[in-house]
Amino acid sequence: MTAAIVWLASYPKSGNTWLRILLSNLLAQAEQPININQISLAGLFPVSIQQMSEATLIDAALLRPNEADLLRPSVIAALLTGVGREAGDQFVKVHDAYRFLPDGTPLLGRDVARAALYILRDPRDVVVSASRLYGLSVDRAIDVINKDRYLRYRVDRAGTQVPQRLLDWSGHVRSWTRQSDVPVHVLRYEDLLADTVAAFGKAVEFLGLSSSPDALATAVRHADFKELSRQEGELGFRENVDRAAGSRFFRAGRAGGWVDVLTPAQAAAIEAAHGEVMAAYGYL
Amino acid sequence: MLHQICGLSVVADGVPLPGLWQSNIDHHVEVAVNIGRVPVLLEGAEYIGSTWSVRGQDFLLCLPGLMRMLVRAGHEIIVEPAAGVELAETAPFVLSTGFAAILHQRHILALHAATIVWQGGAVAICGPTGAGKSTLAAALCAEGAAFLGDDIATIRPDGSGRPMVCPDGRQHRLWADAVAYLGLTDRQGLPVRSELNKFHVAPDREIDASLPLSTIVLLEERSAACQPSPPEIIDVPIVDALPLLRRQVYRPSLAERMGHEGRLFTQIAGILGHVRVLRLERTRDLVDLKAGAELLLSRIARPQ
Repeated sequence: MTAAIVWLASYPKSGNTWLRILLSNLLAQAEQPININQISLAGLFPVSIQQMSEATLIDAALLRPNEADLLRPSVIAALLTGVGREAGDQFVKVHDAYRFLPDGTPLLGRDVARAALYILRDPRDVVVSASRLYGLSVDRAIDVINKDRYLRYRVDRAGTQVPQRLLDWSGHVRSWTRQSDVPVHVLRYEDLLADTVAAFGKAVEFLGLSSSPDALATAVRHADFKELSRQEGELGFRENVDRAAGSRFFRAGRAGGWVDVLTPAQAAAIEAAHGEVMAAYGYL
Repeated sequence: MLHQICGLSVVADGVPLPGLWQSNIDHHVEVAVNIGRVPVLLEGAEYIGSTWSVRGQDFLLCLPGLMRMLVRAGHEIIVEPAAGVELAETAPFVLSTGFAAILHQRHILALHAATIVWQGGAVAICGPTGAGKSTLAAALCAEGAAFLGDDIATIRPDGSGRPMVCPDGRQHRLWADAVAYLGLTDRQGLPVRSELNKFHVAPDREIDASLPLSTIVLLEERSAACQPSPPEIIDVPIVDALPLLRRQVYRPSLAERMGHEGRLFTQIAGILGHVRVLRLERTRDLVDLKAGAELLLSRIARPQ
């Protein structure tokens, strides 16, 4: 039995953190909600510059994005080996688009993952969430999701993560939903919000994790938005690294809030750029 | 031209190595850096990692699309850039990983640390990549400390067993915002890699002698997302220090794969009786930099 990765994949600001908190609570089956600063779903963090440096024996912060890309498959394999054979499923968050290197090797490695959950969210809400959290204007946030870019690519200060190429929002969704290397279960943030037990339950079943209805209901309760917001208020949320001053990570937890924020022109711009994928997933 | 790097005399004909200070010391050559063909993998390697292989006294690094490097028996580094790659782009990896391998092959204790001198003693600032070692060292120099090294602290005992730190021969390497913040723009040199706003910065003076190690500082980052509070220094009891220091060895897995676990243990245990170990906790924000530097210097000056 070797350890295998389960990718928890998403474009940023699409519900990945909430999904991980749900999973964390389900696996722990504890009496109290898990501390949001102590989510521990895997023994490897493949985008960590530190872990990449240890695996490659170089200062990974010196690599250009395309150079780092070339090392990703072998680093993921090395880190997974390092976790040990008996370690069980490694639930690893990933924002990278599902891509291939020039020689055809998947960026995320071959034969390292047994499954993936891909969570997506209405890009109009992604834009609003990004603009609030990163302190960007809405128009700037729209530019951001329309661009093929590397997340976390820093040239002005030491980055803590390896640059992760996202493609634009539509490219990201297609890359994960159309790949056939890793069985993938797609879930919409909106469905998870509307009926968490049902939507999360389907994901849990897809992953082959056994869980009683009680355990599922408890995990959902422990990951309730009010609880997460309360914890952030009390303890801070250490993953909230990109925040503009004073902004909260667990901010609103709503779906469809874009209607109150985007102008008709802004909404139209997003729909023009991403309409095909939006329609495919019921957003139009 | 001979360079002094980590206490070794190095000749690097045809391989540009920027960010080193000038050396006039006439010495026999201990390490040669050359351009040449390097295989992808060492045949019969005892250990193979994601980018590297070890076979006896040979270490090979292969970075696809960038370079290959072979380090032999502590005295030779052979570099082969990938097609279309300028030799200068390989220099940062030669100076860091290449020399880490040289030092481990020579059984010399090397910590990943920036080092300054205060009140006659060398202070090694340890921490992982990106922790802010170089930046803090430059800030300490702005407060009057002298600069001994930016990246690797090599530690060798003198005749009486006292740990002595050797200069690594490197200039400061600082991000553009730190250069501006510390008022060092007139000393700014080449970028560490093109496209990165991290630069070599000449120190105000170069010390080319070894000095006794007095203090080791373990840098810890406080998350900016949690409650803000001023920098804090904590004395680390010697009993706790050994495993912490073991983690500060430069590229420790390389030393382990060369079979040096026992040697490292003995070397680190040997320095513990001579040094004070402190932990400095602060955010990486530049606003904490001066406060952290002043706090550290006053703490070092205070008797234990």
